[in-house]
Amino acid sequence: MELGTRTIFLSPFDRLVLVVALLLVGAVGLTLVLGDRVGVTLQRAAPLGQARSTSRIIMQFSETMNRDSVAERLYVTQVKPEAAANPDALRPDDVLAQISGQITWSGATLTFTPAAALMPGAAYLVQLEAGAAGETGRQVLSEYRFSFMVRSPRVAYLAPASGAPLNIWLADPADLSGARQITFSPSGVFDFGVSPDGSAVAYSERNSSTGTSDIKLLNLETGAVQQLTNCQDADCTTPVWRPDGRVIGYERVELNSDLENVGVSPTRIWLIDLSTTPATTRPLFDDSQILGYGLQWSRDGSRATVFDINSQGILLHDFNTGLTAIIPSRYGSTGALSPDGTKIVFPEVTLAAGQARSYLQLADVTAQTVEPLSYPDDAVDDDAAAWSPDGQKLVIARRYTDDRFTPGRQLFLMNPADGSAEPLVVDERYANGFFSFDPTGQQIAIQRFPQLMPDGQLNNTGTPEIWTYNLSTGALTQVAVDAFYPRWVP
Amino acid sequence: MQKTAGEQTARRALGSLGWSAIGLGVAGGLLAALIGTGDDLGTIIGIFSTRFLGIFIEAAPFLLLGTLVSGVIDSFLTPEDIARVVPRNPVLATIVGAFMGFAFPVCECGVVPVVRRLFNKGLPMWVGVTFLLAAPVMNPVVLVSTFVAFGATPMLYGRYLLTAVVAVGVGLVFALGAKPQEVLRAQSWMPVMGGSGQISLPAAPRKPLRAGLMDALRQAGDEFFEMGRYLVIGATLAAAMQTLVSQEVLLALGRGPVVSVLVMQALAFVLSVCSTVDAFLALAFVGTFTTGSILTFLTFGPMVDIKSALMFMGVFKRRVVVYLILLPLLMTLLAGVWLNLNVAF
Repeated sequence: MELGTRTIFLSPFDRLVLVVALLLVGAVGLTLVLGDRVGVTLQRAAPLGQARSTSRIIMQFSETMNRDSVAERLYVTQVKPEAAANPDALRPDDVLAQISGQITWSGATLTFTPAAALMPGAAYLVQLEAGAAGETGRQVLSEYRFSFMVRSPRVAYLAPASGAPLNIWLADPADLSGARQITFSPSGVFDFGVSPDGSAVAYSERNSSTGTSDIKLLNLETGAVQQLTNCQDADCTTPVWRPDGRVIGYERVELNSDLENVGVSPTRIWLIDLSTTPATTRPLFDDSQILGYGLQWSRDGSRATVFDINSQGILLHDFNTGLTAIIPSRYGSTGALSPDGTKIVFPEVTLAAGQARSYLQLADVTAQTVEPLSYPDDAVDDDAAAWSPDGQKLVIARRYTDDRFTPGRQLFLMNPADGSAEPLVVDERYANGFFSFDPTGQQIAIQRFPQLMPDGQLNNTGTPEIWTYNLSTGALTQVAVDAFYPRWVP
Repeated sequence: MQKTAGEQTARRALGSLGWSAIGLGVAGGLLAALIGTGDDLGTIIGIFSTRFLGIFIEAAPFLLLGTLVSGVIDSFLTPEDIARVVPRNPVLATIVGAFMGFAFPVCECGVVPVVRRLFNKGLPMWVGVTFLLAAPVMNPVVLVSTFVAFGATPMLYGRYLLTAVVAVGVGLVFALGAKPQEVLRAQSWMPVMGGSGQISLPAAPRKPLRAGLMDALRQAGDEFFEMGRYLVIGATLAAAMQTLVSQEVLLALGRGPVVSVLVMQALAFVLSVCSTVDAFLALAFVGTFTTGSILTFLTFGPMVDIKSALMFMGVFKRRVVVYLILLPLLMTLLAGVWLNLNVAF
């Protein structure tokens, strides 16, 4: 080969290598010309088969996607159960409802959070049409479909109420024979919180040798237990999950056992950050002088309330703006924060005819108003309240002080707009307390105490019971006896 | 063609000018990259030192192991042993070469002195080339580490299958067209046997154990320092590339069925991670990079990286070193792109 005046000699071996190299380059080119026969693929999809009412839909693609092109082609629908069994044979009349929700991305992983909780017993279908494109232009070549059924929420509670050690039990209200103990702590569980997706339980456990308590995490899928805190000279209790499931708030009391003439410190709120490995803890507020208990989160996790001991009121903190508001209250309860974090229903104490009673007030943080929902002059003694997941109604615990008097509080459904209430669970033999809505807002789990015997005499040997109440059917179901502290497990 | 003295002087001058221009270009590029990092010189030197030591300290024990194996081969392996084990059929011989790593378990740093010694002992050149490319993966240590990282998945099978195919493929190219004397540097093929049959080695008796071990240690020491030069230069280059070429930029580019493969090949070449641990590094790319590109990383990296390419210079002629980079590069590129476009994992 001549190149200018210089000759480059190619041996037969050089020529062979050159030919092989050219053939390989040609083969790469041919592969490209023949085109993409795989396209962007779905590496992982969830949930498959069974889901919880709070489940999010997760789709992990083989590469980073053009978000708009995916959003345009993603459909989540409620379908007839028989259609879910064979999603490829879906007909238009199998679709019962379109499900709206919010799409978020983390790299190549999409998370679809339904706007409302999924209905237990219902079937859902997820469809991604072909044509959704990755950032490189590669496309999803064929449609993806997967389906799942939503199982009924279960109830977790502490038992035995009359003995020790206390442990967490789990029961399905639709199948009470399957109730089972899920923690086996020899020293006992103090309290617990269920993760928003229902996959884990954070609980506080006493350490019988040190007298302190720590927060532990139980994975409900695997049964694995992980210690989250190391409270060597402190009581760490009352775990409260932030709705995104990444952070757990808890109450921490320093015992100060190594300090002379110093008593136990007041309660402060601390956080466990589960997004780090290992999980890390830090105070909720940088200002160590802010004391508080009774943590609650708004649905998006941007706001939280605690009862601030120093200012004797409910402290609401907005993490987006960094602003804090105090709503004065003498009762000492955080009340109930509405799901959108804009309203708080809380009891206030009053003295009437020498007797202390309480009534409910509604604080609107946006309008900066505090209005009574029931009045001090009303013949009522209202205590706790719980918001429905859609924030449209309240369930309250009320006891009338007139001729409708009952020894214990009964449950009433209240309209937060005007304070009107209608009876929900009224049985004078029982006192009702510690109640909460399930994620769909269809059922309430209630802790009830049988105050009266069937013959109307005071029940001196009673133990608390766990019940559920279905707002649609009015069915009241006993879930467990000699148990307390019910929590929904989605 | 007769050349005058003037023409030769002019040609030398032009050649010097060309090399100077290339040197200046490289220096300019490095300076530009240095400025582009935005870090001060002290920070860059610190990062460079850490990375150089990381590569060198990781590789040096394997080089030592390789030279020890090489010394043992020199003392106890005879050409007759090689001739007895290696088939005469070139295709079968290259296939045997692909699996010889299970008998001589060395990674890409240790394999170079071993293969050079095997050449001296009469291993056919193309079998040695196949062994050189395959052994860093085809050995029990890497099999276990890949299994621990990925389990019994297509990534494990794919790594071994692709390595065997590429190594045998390159070996056959050498078997079909190359002679030992145009491939190997003089110290690697003298005395020539290398499968060429051009010169027969005199039969040498096997050394007694004690004397053989002493010889093996002496040989290992000499060879460690000889090959160590290439390791130092290779580690220096690799550390410089890692310091000056932003891995974040490379990773950000790593999308798509073709570019991802090229990026992972570039990463494998630059990072120069030992094949015994590269599976764990590759694991971090799962979900971010295409499967074909990760497989390419696991296959191409152990065959060729900066430091091993420099060490090849101690065994092969420069042009052949280029071929030993080019052919695996193109073969693994083809495999990676084809897998990405045709196989759903």
